[in-house]
Amino acid sequence: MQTAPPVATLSAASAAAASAVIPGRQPWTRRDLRSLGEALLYLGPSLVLFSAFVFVPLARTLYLSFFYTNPIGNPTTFGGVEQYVALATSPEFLTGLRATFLFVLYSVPLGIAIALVLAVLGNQRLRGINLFRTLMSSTIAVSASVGALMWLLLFNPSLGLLNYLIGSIGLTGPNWLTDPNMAILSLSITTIWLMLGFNIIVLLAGLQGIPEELYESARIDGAMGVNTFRHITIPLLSPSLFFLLVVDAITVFQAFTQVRLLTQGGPVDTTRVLVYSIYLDAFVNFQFGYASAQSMVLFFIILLLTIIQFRFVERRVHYQ
Amino acid sequence: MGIRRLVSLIAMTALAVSGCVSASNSGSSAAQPAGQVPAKVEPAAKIQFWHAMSGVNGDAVNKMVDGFNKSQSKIQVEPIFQGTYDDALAKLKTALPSGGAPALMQVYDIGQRFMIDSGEIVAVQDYIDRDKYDVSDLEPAVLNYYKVQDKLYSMPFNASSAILYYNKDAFKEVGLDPNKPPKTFDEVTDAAKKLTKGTGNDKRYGFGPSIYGWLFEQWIAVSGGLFADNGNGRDARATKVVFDDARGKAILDFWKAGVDGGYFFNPGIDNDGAANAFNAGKTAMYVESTARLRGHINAAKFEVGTGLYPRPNNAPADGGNIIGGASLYMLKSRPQAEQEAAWEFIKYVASAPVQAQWQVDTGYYSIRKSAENEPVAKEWVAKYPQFKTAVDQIRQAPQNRMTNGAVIGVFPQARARVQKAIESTLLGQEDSAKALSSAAEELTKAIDGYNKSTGK
Repeated sequence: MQTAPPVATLSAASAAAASAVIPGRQPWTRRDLRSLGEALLYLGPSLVLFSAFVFVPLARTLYLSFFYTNPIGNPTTFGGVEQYVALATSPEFLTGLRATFLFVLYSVPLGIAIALVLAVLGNQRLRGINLFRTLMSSTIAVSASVGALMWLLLFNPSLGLLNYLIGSIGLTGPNWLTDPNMAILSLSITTIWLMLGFNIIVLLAGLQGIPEELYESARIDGAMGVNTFRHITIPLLSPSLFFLLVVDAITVFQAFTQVRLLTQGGPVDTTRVLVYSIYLDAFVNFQFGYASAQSMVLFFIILLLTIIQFRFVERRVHYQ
Repeated sequence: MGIRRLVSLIAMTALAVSGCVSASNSGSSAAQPAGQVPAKVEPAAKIQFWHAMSGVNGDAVNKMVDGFNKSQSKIQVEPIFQGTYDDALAKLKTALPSGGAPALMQVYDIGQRFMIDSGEIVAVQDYIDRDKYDVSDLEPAVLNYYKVQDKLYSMPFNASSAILYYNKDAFKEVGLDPNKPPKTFDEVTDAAKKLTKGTGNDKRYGFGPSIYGWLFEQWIAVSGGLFADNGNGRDARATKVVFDDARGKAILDFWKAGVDGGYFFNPGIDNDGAANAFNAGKTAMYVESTARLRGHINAAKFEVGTGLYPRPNNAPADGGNIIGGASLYMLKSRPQAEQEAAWEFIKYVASAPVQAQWQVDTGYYSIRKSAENEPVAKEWVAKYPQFKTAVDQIRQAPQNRMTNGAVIGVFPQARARVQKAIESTLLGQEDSAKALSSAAEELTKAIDGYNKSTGK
């Protein structure tokens, strides 16, 4: 979300620039030019950074998606939309797309729900509650690779703690990472765990922003736990929940580390999520064009999803 | 929703996605025409050496480089660990266009075709010819693997072979002869059945190889089969893969029967997982690279036995193992002074004393025959005869197109695709013949695309 302010200013600046050429307006005065120069000066650093790391690579990706490349990655022959056609007809890509959506579906709502429960618990005023808050949000300090390696050990079929515990009560644990029905769930468990710290911090901050008087007056009116939760906590927390919905969905769409370390897209492509497929095609198979086409698809999926979230979900958000 | 918010949304998602694919630039200048023997120049004072060795093997590389740097005063080699073989090669590919390539690069066996086609390397043959460097002492199997159409493009560095590891204590426990490891698929199956015992957390499986494409490639060669056409891509450029025959099917059927029967453990594609399961005594046998040997001897609490790679039943005599490992490439985009420095380092690395120490430190066998006469090697093999298995095996293998190994451009992709075929067979999603034929079909298409993209 940190990108919003500079870009908003940018569009404001371009709106100002556009108004300069509208006929009937006064021509540019020296003061206007000076303030434009000043504005550009302020915007300069972020413009340069955004161009270098976002806009140019994005344009380059779009460009590459129309070409075939040699093994070094240089575009050689122009293919037009052929890469996109190949994508649409590739069963592998469609499996991957399905895996991506399942991954998001399993990880995001559950991840937010678990964080909500823990945040509400952590919002109690108890002695030493800060210790619990710190513990519960500590996964934010764990890098995705360390977290994934930890879960790799837990999931390990022969030495893992999970199957040891399940085995010690006389049951047989699942093959977390090698069973095609389990692998995507295992990835989601890892991802939920990795996102938990961030989610809890956001929700705790939201909870603490809810005025105490509202709960007091609700209590005077005779509202009990579940009712206050439904009619006060949830509506007033909705901006935080909405923020998490958008940000978590984008995070999961882009999750790479845990896929790389836990399943490498397997077994039999059941966890070949879009980002991992892009990695494989770009950096193992060195078909940059094909990988770029997939990147563009991912870009539009995330864009579309985010627009939908803003259009339909945001209506239900209650801003104070 | 206002236009302004839409713009910021687009920017936000763009930021999110643009990290996925980095742009690659075109252009790389040829420092010298290929095949021309360079006149000798003064070597550079400092060069970079990218490698993919981690753990005990990584320590051994650092020790080796340290030895070189101290052995003379003119050249300093800087070893840089670049991740796994795959990661290192991917980094090289992205570094090439920007001129960030090292002078010397370790690339795995299956990256050979790509490295040659890239046009970015100086064949070590040029330097061998110029200096009349004697290669007759190198292991024939290793030399044959890295010679493509009679030219050595890279210098063999770490040579491995797939062998059988087994738990001698477990063998004794169930009444199997600890000095007679199983030699064929049938014998492995029988031994695995006997070695499997217990349930739940205490279950021990008889055999537990990971789903590793390299193991399949080995078995194809041992069965006397080719992986790709045109003599494994050595007589002429390969145009298709040919492993989808009765040989390939026999391998997958053996594997699946064991997993279904509950006496083979399936750790998935996780090679480390397979090694850890063996170390922990959860599996009593498995097959992997000799490169794991030192690690097993250090970690296992039982006596580690090594045996020849199990052969498919009735495998013909002309079948044998392919070598594995990696070799060293000199990069063309670096100045010739750096190539000279790299060449000096290569000669040091390939010398008998260094190879002997390397073998002791890692489990890779020496690329040089005479290294076994070095005191350190003799002493070591006397103490741990397991280290001898790989050399014996590779010397026993008849030298032909099957055992020379395949040279194809899309090998990393082929290996991953074969692994998928093994997975889907073991999971019962496809029968072995169908799984192999669809893999072969896809890979033949990929080879075709690769050949076209290189203009050949």
